Amino acid sequence: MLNKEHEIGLYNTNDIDFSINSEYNCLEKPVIFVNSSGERLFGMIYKTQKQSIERKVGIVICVNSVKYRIGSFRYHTMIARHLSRIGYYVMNFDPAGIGDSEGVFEEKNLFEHYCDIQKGKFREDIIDAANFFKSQCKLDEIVLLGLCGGAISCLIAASKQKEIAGLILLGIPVLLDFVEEKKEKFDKASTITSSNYALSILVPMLQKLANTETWSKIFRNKIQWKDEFKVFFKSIKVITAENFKRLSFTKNDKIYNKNILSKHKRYNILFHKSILNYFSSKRKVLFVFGKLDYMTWVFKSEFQDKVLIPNNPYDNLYEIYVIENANHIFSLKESQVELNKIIEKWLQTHFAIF
Amino acid sequence: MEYSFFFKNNKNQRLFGIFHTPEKKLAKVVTIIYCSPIFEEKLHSHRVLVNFSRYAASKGIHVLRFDYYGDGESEGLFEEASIESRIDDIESAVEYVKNQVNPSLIILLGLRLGGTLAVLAGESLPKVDGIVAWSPIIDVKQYLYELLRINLSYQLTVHKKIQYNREALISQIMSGGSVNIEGYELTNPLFNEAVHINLLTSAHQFNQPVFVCQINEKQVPDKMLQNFVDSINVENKQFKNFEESRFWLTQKRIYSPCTELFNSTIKWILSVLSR
Repeated sequence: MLNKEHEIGLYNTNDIDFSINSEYNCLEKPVIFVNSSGERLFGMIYKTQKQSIERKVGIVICVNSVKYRIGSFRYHTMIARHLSRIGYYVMNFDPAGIGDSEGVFEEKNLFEHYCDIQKGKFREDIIDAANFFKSQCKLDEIVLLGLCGGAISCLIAASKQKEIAGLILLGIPVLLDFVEEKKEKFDKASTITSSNYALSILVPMLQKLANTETWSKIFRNKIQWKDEFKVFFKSIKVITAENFKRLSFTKNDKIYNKNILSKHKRYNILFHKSILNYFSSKRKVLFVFGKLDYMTWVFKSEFQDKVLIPNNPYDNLYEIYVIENANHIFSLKESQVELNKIIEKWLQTHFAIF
Repeated sequence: MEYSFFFKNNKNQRLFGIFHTPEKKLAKVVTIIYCSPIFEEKLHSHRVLVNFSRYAASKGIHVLRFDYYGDGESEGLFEEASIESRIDDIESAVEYVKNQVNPSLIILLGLRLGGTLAVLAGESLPKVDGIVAWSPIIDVKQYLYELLRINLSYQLTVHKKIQYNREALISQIMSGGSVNIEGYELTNPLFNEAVHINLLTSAHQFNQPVFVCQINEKQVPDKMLQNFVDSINVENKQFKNFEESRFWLTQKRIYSPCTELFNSTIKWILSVLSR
């Protein structure tokens, strides 16, 4: 028989006491809750020990794609501890079929999973997690935080659930990974949508072409030259088109048209609808990207430059940051430090707890 | 049933664990302690091991999965942990399980570097009755050197050239600095201890049965693994090659059911029990 103090049972994890994390001055507790489909989901709550807070704000962190709740290089665990040290309540959790939660994750290609997630696969689980967290800790407000697939999932959930007060979206994808109808899958050339990104690809390519070893590889068929040429010509096309547009730009073009929709063949319409819906209820959002991440430039060209132009009606609702030398997952220590500062400052500005 | 909790290791540090207990127990209490890999391999493989633990529990076997100090949801920072600290944590997990359920049989099961740690910990702990190593890393120095390439690639992306080559990175680690590998800070304690580990060249003194599994998409036997198994001086040892996806890496297709791997492992454990 198990020692009595640990005799909790699968569905009664909520009965155990919080465990003290003295370094971060917070209490940590594994939890289990049931989602709307009847599946048991696993989570971890980080309860701040900071005294005299006037408002209880909770942050729910959604997994990025198929990795479990701790996140890449356990970033979700570390940001949770960091935020609870400064006075916020945080919860990580595993959606159904992932991590330690119940449920089956269909055996599929990874890019098909990405597509499911980009179309809202985690939406209901996030809403259930937020509701559970709010009632468990008697919170005043809930903010959602996610990276990549987690970010688009949080946006889709918040679009439906008006009780979600804020969003922190890191490296949010605006394109679908897979277009089912056309049976096309992800290709690099289609992600080149802005001259910034095009240049970042073109310059190293041209440098490599000046190298005889590159030509040797081409002749020995060691390089996928068809894909490379596709990328090369797309980059040239995007740069040319953008410069042409700039030259023929007039003041009259600066008329805001909220119906501007990207014509990119893989543009995620659900992203577009969700963000406009979210903005319509005057809620705040923080976007953070890495400068080395191609998704940054796709976001800029397909959404920011079309919808978030100067004097747009949502100006006071969002903030956008791009971190130098940061990749898609902010893996560099310096990137994480800056990312945490941005998140902390945004929360303290819009979701102050004192 | 699954119990999630925090427990203290030998240094009074908080480790996170999940204990799977069977509804229908065997005549004797059998417990597997899972030793996870490190870096992103831990994340990629997590769900497969959850599935295995639930499967083992359905066969009457307890399973303890836990996070090392500085990993997962345990206390501490990754850069503070070493090989020695991880082996200590495995020992603490063995003690915990002994106190909780007093099993008749304790099996250490490790994946990748976790398999290497299971071998190292298992041969020094008399309470361990068997070792299962799924694709253990034989030459840890080679493994770490390959990981350093990730940092080199990142330098190329950021700086368009390599500013610090491998030797410079190693020198950085050895002089007290750290090298970023996919978000993890590789530091001296781990690096310095790990580079000296080679299961083939170091002497082993096993007192318990060993089951080594090679997991690969292609049925090409790994000579290093085979040589390692050949070098083990116990009567009850087995090596088997499984044609499964290497689920600790980013896969094109997920999740791999690993049916044969799971079945064979449970079957081997039950055969140890019956001796």
